[in-house]
Amino acid sequence: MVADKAGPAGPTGLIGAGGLPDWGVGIGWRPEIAGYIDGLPGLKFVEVVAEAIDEHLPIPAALKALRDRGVAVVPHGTRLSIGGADPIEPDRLRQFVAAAHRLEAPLASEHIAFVRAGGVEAGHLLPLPRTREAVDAVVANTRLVQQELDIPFALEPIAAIFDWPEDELTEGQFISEILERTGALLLLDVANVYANAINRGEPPSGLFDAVPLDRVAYVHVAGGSMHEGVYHDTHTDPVPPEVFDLVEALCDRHRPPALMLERDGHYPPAGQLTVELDGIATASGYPPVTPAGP
Amino acid sequence: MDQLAATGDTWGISGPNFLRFYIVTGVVVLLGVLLFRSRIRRGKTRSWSDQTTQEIAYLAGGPRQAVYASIGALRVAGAIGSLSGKRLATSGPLPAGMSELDQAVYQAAWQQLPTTGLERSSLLSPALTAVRRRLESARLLLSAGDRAAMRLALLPLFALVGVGVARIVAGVQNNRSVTYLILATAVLALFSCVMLARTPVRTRAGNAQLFTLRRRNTHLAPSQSPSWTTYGAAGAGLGVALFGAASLWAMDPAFAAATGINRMATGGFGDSGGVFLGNYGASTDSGSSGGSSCSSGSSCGGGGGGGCGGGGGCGG
Repeated sequence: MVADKAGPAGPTGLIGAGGLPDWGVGIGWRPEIAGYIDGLPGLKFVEVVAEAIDEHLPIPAALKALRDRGVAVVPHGTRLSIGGADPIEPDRLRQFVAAAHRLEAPLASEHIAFVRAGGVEAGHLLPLPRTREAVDAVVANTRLVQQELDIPFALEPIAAIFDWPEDELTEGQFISEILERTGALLLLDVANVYANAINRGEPPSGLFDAVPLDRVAYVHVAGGSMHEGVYHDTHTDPVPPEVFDLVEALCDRHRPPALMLERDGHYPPAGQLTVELDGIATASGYPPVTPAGP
Repeated sequence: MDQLAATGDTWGISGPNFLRFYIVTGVVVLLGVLLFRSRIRRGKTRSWSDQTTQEIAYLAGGPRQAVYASIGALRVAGAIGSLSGKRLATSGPLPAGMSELDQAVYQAAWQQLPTTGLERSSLLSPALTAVRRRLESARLLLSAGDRAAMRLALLPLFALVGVGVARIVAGVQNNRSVTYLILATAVLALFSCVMLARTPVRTRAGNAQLFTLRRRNTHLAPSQSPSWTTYGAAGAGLGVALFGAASLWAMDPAFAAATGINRMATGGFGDSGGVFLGNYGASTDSGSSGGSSCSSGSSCGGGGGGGCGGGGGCGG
């Protein structure tokens, strides 16, 4: 059932985490670079910001064209506030599920974060303290989503610029427990992993030993920049070589079914996007999706 | 039949007979004129290959849009900037492989010319004329001769309107009822005037080409806030070519403001040819629906044909 919706299986035909096929290298679909993405011949999956799919408007034509080409489109939520102490707002959940349906998505994802507390909107993703209470809140909200969604659901831990003083669990324990109790998949952001490790002064690949890598649905690869001694996961800078190294280290341990370039602004020239997509292909060993390839 | 010879009939023809004759003749002449104009307007439907950005821009919005497309491409390439007084300036070397018009616009920037009326500058006219000639010979743009022929074809209609008016005047003097004749003449006059005002600029083939190109390049529409850095100078030129000055404003508002780019200049032809522009976006696939209502010609567009400076100014 799920595999049917997933579109064509990957080049190896293998089925990975959650019954998802190997999609290989993908990219975050944004209207600003839709023309570039349309020209990627080998593309098998894209991720789209779920809230960009307006329920009152037709699906963007370029996105629909990709769907018609057999490219899997994965909605990525940013406003469900899975980590909030309150239950998810029913209206947001309904919109999220509706977007997944309309995109015929084989998979959907959200962040382990909160954007809203006591009815106040933060306007961006905030990290949770790694406490048992927070795990309970995330598990409860994740189950709410899973009840409405008839496709696999992946959770993405966000970059933490700071750690909460009341943290009871390590990041690995925190993530593993949520996944275990909900059966959700993991959306691993390698740039976040890198950022957290740098900012905590830990080895970046440490997290790979602490979380179930066979549960990784797909991977975000993004750029960032050092600012006053803190690495910021900006999504608007080039992907640093260290992050590509980390992708390679991850794939050496357990290659996830899909990895994608996540770029949210300051879009570079087409050639630079191609270099980064090819970089992910090289680091992961998946075939290149760009016209020329490396 | 005795009506025919009845004394006191205006011009010796009875009112009902004249009306019948008038309406039948009017319909026949009108159909003839429509057919004649339609044949001229058809253009060539065979595929238009190796079209340049400048040709697309000229087809979409006349010489000014062609100049704007060059400005967009040169700006994204970092070759031009702005000075006070809406003047252009060079800010970098001319990139390789630019078109003749791009080169002329770069030359104009070198001379620090203002953007206002740049399309009429002698510096640009050889390049612009070449673009126009190519579009005319490809039967995408109507030549001045075509447009004159389309207007001349209206002569029989106007003559018929004249006959109707004369008969109305005579009938009134003769104390006859002329209500129906007034109606018939007014309808004919209306058709004639509308056709005169809406003499198109593009052929139907030109409209179809433009429609296809816009639909194929939705990602360059301003509503998508395209990343011009990603699409590069060529993408920027094509974006302005297809979607007009709005693209230039979206690309670089400070530059567009400083150089006095006319934000509303989309369709420097006055767009009497009527290829859709509006409603292109909200990031939807409105292309098909938006196009069908307009591409047939006179149903949309701004009416008066003199968008680029007085009557046949753009046909040249």
